[in-house]
Amino acid sequence: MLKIYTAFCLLIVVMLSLANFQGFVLTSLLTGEARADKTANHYHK
Amino acid sequence: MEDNMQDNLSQSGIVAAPPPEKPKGKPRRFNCPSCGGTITLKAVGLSVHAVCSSCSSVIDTTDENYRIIEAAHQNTQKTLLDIGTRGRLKGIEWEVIGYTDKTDGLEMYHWDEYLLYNPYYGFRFLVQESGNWNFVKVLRRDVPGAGVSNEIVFEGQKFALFLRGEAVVQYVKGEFYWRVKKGERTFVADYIAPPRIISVEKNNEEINISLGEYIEPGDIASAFAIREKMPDKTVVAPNQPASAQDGYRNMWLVAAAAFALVLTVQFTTMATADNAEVYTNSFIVRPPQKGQTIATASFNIPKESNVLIQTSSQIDNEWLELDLSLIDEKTDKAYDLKQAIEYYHGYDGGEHWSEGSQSAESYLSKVPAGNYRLLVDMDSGAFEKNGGVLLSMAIRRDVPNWSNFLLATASIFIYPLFALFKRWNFEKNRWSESDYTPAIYRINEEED
Repeated sequence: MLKIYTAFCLLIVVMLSLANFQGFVLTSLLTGEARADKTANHYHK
Repeated sequence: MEDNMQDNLSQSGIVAAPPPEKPKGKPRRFNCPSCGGTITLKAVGLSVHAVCSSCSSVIDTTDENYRIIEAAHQNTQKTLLDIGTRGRLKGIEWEVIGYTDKTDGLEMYHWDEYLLYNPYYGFRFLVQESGNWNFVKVLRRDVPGAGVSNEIVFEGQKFALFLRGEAVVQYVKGEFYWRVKKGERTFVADYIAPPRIISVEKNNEEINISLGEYIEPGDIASAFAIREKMPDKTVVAPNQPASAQDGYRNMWLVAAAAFALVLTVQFTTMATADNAEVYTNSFIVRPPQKGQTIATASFNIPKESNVLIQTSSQIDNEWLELDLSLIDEKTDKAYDLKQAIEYYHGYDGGEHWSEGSQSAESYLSKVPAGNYRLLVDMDSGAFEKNGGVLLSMAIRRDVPNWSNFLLATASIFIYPLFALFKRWNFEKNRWSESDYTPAIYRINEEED
């Protein structure tokens, strides 16, 4: 059990490093960010 | 575990390393003066007292005519370990030579005491209560405060008082090195330092102090080749060790190390983040522009990173809603989000109050490098009231944030905290049987 937990902790540390390095932010999931293709013609210049 | 117990027992004198000299005398057979049944005396010269397995008469084995101390009074009681059963426990072969069934003074709790004998190592006890077993040796020395104090120290270890009460002998069979009979009452006190227990038994004539160590039922079954189902554990024993103590300690060490690594990653990220402002502006939105989409000037994000969009407005007892789209000018890819700014305040019941705030902020993850504009759709109750709304906006990239760190920290500690709760609950159950429960385990008792 301890080995599994140790591996889990290491995974968490690696995931945090990757997330921070790549600019992933957890709270962006909570603010309703949605990715969708739009055309820039929709906005008024 | 087995090795540790063996070491502890050895240190306590429960298991002596070199075998002492074997006492003289072979097992002696004689006939019961009451029923004529054969009685075999194993601890010759040591036993003073035997109970006939056929008729339960109590016989004085120190008397050359085997005087009957007490005539047959009951039927033979079936026991898990029969008299004469042999088993290898802690590396030493023991034979069951005596059995007593005891209860507390109110006869609410029953327990079995088996007297074990080995001609080289003397006597030990196996005690079974509610499916829990202890291997016990009588101590030949005094333990200061035993039976009187609420805490005693033995071999540098503190033992906490668990119970004080009375033990009553309900049934005996086999042979004994002391005189024992049904109905005999003794004062008892138990002190615990799991997996060890110190028991004090006292009557008008003597005081006996013994040291026991918890043994798993499976070990007893293996040692004595018991094929019957062992009694189920129905309660946490006073000295039952919490499972995997070493693993539990190491788990917290791993958690602490992982937390240190997470902190290091977080502070490194914060120290190396650009945290650069890529756009800032303030503008007034008039009522005619309500419902129209406003586009900011183009701004550049030089490399993939997160983006923080901060907005603020000096609204007063009003609300403001924003639909925002960050548009990649090259690919037309849009990153959508909503923001709401609400700020209300007043004076009620002699007190000032306020709720909400005049600003909002949102993160976008992994926004690729490129030129962007932000589209703003706005609605607000302040349009009609004030004739326009002042909106300030700032956009930053590669901004340090704590949400990933908080999630990582929670993930690391959730299991150790669960284990901590489980352990607390285990200890609470242990102490629920005691009149001397430490305050930390008394929470539900006070509610009851």
